[in-house]
Amino acid sequence: MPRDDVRTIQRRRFGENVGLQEDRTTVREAATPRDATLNTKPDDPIVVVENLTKDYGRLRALDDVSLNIRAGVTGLLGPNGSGKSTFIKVLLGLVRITSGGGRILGMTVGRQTRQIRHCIGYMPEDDCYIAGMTGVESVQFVARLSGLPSIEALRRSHEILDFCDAGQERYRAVETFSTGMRQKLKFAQAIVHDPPLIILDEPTSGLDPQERQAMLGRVRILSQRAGKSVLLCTHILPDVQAVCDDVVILAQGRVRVSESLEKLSRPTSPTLQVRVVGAAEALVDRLRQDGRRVDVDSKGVLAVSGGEGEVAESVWRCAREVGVGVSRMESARNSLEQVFLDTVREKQHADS
Amino acid sequence: MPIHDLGYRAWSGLRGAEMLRWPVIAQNGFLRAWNNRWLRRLMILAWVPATYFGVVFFFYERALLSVENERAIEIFKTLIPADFSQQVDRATEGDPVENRHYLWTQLLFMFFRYPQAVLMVLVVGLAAPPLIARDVGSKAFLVYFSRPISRVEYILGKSATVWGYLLLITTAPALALYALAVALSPSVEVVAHTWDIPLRVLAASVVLIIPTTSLALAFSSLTKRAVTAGFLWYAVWVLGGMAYAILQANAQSEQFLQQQQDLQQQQAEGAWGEVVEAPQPQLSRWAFVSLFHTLGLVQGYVFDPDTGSSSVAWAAVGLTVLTVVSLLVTYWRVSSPMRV
Repeated sequence: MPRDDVRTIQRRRFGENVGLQEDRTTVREAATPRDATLNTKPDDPIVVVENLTKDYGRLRALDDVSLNIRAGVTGLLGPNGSGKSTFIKVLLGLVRITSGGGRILGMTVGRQTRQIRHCIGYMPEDDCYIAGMTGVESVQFVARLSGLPSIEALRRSHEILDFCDAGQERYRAVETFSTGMRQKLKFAQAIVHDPPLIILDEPTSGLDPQERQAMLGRVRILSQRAGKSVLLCTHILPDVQAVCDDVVILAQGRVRVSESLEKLSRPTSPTLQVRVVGAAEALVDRLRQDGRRVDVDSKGVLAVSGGEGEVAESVWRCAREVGVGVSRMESARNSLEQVFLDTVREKQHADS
Repeated sequence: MPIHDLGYRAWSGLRGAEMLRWPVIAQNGFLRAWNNRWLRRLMILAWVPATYFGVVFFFYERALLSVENERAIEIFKTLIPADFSQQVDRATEGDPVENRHYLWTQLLFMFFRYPQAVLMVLVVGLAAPPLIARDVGSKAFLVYFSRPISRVEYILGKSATVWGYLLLITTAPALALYALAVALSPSVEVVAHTWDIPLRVLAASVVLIIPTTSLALAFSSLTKRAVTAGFLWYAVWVLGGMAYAILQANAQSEQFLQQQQDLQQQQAEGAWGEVVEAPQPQLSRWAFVSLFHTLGLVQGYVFDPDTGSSSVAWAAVGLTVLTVVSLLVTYWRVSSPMRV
């Protein structure tokens, strides 16, 4: 065994979850995306879609969608029936575009379908599997469909199932798998051919909290250490907040939001969240006299904004004046849930 | 956690040829089907008729070599089904060596027509129904079509699975029989006279394999349950055979009645001329209701083009239409999950 591998094994910390080990040495040779397959410059968006429309008969599933998706992890959100699945199917070339077009990793959607599918790993939401096979056979089979030679596909399947923490269950028939194991299997199938872009449709659906964290950890490793781009389609907003760099929100087939998570989380005006010790009412009154806007939530946390000058300075001064202690003060951030709900509500108002 | 776990590592090997992905589907389907122990038993059983026909070839060639060839020809005739006695008489009358080509093709046609056709129905009934039905049931289409695989390649791969089994029970034993016959013949020169027989075997295999596989896969794609697809498959053969038997019997009885009426009329008119026998009912008239008989017509033509008639052309058209419709149904069903 090469000395480097021995060192790797020695440095491994046994018993830890694979997905959560940020300091592992296991992805040391991973950040080598096959540039030969990518016709893009490093800073180019990996997915560019322009005026994309898809109709199913009379139903318009995607309506003039234009967006750019950067490298990194992008969350694709939207209520049910918003067109997320259709968007993914369009990217994979599974359905024909009615009008518009796009490029994935520099390849034209609808025309270079085969090449695009080589570069995409897709984990479907549906509970889909190829019956009559064990877990490892199943992963080996899809690896071979992606062009890996038979023996190499088997070796790679074991490697990926190890990464997914599949254990000995990999030798069981896939029909007998639990929900968690099926999610791992679908994830392994999506990444076994080492694609530069991975599309994950509800990867944490049906997982217990520990497995969910492990799955998100794997997504983080793939993104941060292995240089993969991930399109994460989910309804679980904390998952998006945990791993995503950018967020796209679709509603009724249209792009409502396409922004970095950092920017979305930032409130429109600087707001401070303040926890106090003592009579909060006095401080609230004093701050309002000072021209600040103050909201108090059910837990007694003050959200202070508006007015002229530094908000923090104003809070400290007013607290001193009314004799109230400040136990905690931090910049407020918009929750993604709020952004999502606001977006959907805006759309509903516009419709009505 | 396994000790050899290396976490995520990139893969940068060489990929296989783009156009050779469907054999992966075929190989996988073949191996999955092989897990069925009834199919394994049937595959072994499928070679028993070949052994029997090997014995028939042996006695025929023995008859040509032996001084007491009359005895060998008698044994040979007892081994042949009564339906083929006319052909055998034709082949053994005159110079048997001259008739070798004719007899070999007739024997191989017999081999295709009866034992292997029945075994084909059984083998396809076990191997084909789960092929697409299981993928429909487990929603596996997304697993396939998110890879660089087209729907045509998918259907080709699934078809090739069935083709593999059918080649093993029809083409392979037929070619082995031909090789055995050549080996038993007095001289290798017979190859010069019989070179077209292997080609006829291949053509007859195509006639048998393509329509039946297409039909079986169409049934498989129509349902989530392999049992239902299997039931449909067997129903086509059983009901088709029964319908053919009933219609054929009806046609024969009509002819008999017509013959009786003609006779009575002649008697009434006082004409006691020679009774002209009514023509035998055409066996191919109702063949189109039975896939078994339709296949038989075309295969008969492949092995002996002298038997060609307009009904053979119609049978060939019928099989082509059946194949095309079956493939269209399969393609439509395979595509349907993507439309929603």
